[in-house]
Amino acid sequence: MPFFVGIGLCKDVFCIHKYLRLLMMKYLWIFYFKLKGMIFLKKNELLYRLAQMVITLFGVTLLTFGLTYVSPGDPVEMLLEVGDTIVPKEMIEATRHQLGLDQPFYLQYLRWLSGLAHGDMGLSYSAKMPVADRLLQGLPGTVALAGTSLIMMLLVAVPGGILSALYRNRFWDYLIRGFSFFGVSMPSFWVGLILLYVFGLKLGLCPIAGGVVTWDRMILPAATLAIAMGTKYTRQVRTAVLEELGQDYVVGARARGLPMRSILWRHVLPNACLPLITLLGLTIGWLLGGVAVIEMVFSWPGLGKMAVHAIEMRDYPLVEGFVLWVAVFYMGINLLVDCSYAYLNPHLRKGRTH
Amino acid sequence: MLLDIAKLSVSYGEHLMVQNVDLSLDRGGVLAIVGESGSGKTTVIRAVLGCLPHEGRVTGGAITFNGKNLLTNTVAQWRQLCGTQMAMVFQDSGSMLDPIQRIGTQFVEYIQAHSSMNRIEAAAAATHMLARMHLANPENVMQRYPFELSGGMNQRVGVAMALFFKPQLLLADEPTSALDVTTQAQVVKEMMHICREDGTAIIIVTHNIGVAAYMADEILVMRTGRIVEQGPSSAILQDPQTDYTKELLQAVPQIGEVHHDLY
Ligand SMILES: Nc1ncnc2c1ncn2[C@@H]1O[C@H](COP(=O)(O)OP(=O)(O)OP(=O)(O)O)[C@@H](O)[C@H]1O
Ligand SMILES: [Mg+2]
Repeated sequence: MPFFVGIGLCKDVFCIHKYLRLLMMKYLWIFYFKLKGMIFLKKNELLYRLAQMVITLFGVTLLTFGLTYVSPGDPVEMLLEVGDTIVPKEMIEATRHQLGLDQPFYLQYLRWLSGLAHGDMGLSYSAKMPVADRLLQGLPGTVALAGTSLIMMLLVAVPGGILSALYRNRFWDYLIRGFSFFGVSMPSFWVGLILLYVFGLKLGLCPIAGGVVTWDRMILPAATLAIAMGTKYTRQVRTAVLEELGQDYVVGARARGLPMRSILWRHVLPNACLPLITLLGLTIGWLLGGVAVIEMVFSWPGLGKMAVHAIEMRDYPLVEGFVLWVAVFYMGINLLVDCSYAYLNPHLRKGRTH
Repeated sequence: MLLDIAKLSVSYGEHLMVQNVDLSLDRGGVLAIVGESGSGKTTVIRAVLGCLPHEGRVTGGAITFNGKNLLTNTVAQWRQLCGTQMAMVFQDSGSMLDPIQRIGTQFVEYIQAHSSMNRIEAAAAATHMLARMHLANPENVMQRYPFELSGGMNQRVGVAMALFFKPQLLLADEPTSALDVTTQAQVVKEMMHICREDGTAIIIVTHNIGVAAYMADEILVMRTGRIVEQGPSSAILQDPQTDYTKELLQAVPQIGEVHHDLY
C-alpha cells in the first residue's frame, strides 16, 4: 500500500495535498478512459453516465475517508491545543465522542453519507461553520482566478502555438519554443515569488497583501498560473496545428487553390481544436479545485488554500467536502467536454447512426 | 501544346527521386503514366500542380503550361492556377476533404474562392455538377460529411470538384484504384465523358493498364524515377519493348474484364 505509507510518512502539507490530487486523478483517469468508448451521448447514455458518476463519487469519498482515517495527527488535539496549553485527557475524549470520532470507520462514513443525502456536509472544525458555507466562501476566489488565468493563458498560448507551427523550425518557432521551455522548467511558486518581488515590491504596480478578492490583487496570481499553463499549452497548440497541417485535406485544399488564410482559419484550426478541448476540460477541472501552491504564495482566499489549511488542521469534514466538490466538478466538466466534443465532431455525432 | 515537361528532376531532401522526365501533352489529349510502386508517378504530377510534399523540390528542368514556365510562379499565381486551369483528383478523395465540414460547404467554398458567385448560386452549381457525375440525390450528398459517403461516392465528388471549372488539364492520381472493378469502370467512364465534353486534357496515373488502355492516347512507363518507355498506347500494349513493361502488362489480370466492360 505505497499510497498510504506515503501519506503516513509525509509531513509536508503540500505533499499530502498532492497525493490526494494524484490519487483522484488516477481514479478519474481510469473512469475517463472507460467512458471514452461512448462519447456520443444519447439520453439514456447520459443517464448511464450520471449513474456512473454517482458510483465513482462513492469510491472517491470512501477513499478520502480512508486516507484521513489512517493519516497521523489528531483533529481533536489540533482543535483544542492552542499554543502550549495542556488539555486534560477527559476533555479530549469528550470532544472526540461529541464529534463521533471514537466510532468505527464505517459508521463514521455512513453517518457522513446520510448527512450528505440530506444536503448536510457536516461542520468544519476549524472554520466553525457548515462545510458547505466554507466551500462557498472559497469558491468566488477560485472561480475568478481560474477564469482570468485561463483567458490570459489562451490569449498567449493559442497565437503563440499557431505562429510556432506556421514558422516551424524558423526564427519565431525557436523563439517561442525557447520561451516555453524556459517557462516549463520554472516551478510556478518560484515564478509567483519573482513576480511578487518585481511588480509588487520593486515597481509597486500591484498590491502584495492578499486575503481579499479584487481585480488588482488577482493580476499576479492569474499571470503566474497563465505562465505555468501557457508554456505547456503553447506546445500543445503547436503540436495540434502541425498535426493538422500534415493532414491530406490540407494538400487537397491547396490543390483546389484555396488561399492559405482560409485553409488555416476554416479547416486547420477547427480540426486542431478537437484534441485541445479535451485537454482544456482537464485544465478547468484542475483550476476549479483551487491551485494550492499559487493560492498559498499569494495568500489568495480560494479553495486550494482552504484545503491546505483543512488538511493542516485535520479538519476531516472540510477535506471530505472539498474532495467531493473537486470530484463532482472534474467529472461534470469532463461530461460537458465530451458533449461538446460530440457536438463539434460530426464523426462522433453521427457515428452511432451509420 | 498544352503542357510540356523537359528534363524534370525532383529531389526529396538529398535524394534525387525523379530524373530527366520529358513529356508533352496536347489540348484534350490523354496520357497515362504507369509503373511500379515508388517509381515516381505521383511525384511527377504533383510537381506539375506545384504541391510536392514539404521536403520535395524541383531541382532541374522546366514545366511549361500554356507557354508559361510554371517553376517561376509565385504562390499567388499557383493559387490562381490550381483548381481552375489545372485540377487534381486523388486516389482517396474522401481524405482530401476536411473531415468536419459538409461536402456542400467545402464545394461552395471552393467555387467562391475562384469566382464571384454568391453562396446560393454556388450551391446550385455544385449540386448540378454532382448530378453530372451521376451521384444519385446530389442535394443529399451536399449535406453529408466525407466519412458518410462510400469510396465510390467520394471519388465522384472529387472528380466533380476537380472538373467544376472546366480545367484545361486534369491530373488524376490513381483515381479509381481504391474502388471495386464495377465502380472503377463507371467512375472512369463518367470522368472521361465530362472531359471530352469540356475538352480537358488528362494525365492519369494508374496501376491498372486496362484503365490506361481504355483512356489514354499515349502511355508513359516509369521505373525508379526515369522513363522506361513512352509511346502511343496501342504500340505499348501490343508490342512492349522492355521486359519491365511486359511484366507490368502481365501483372494486371483484370485488364480484360474492365476493357470489355468499358467498350
Ligand atoms: N514526402 C516524401 N519524402 C521523401 N521521399 C518521398 C516522399 N514522397 C515520396 N518519396 C519517395 O519518392 C519515390 C517516388 O514516390 P511516388 O509517391 O512518386 O511513387 P509512386 O510511383 O506514386 O508510387 P505509388 O504507385 O506507390 O503511388 C519513392 O521512392 C518514395 O520513397
Ligand atoms: Mg503514387
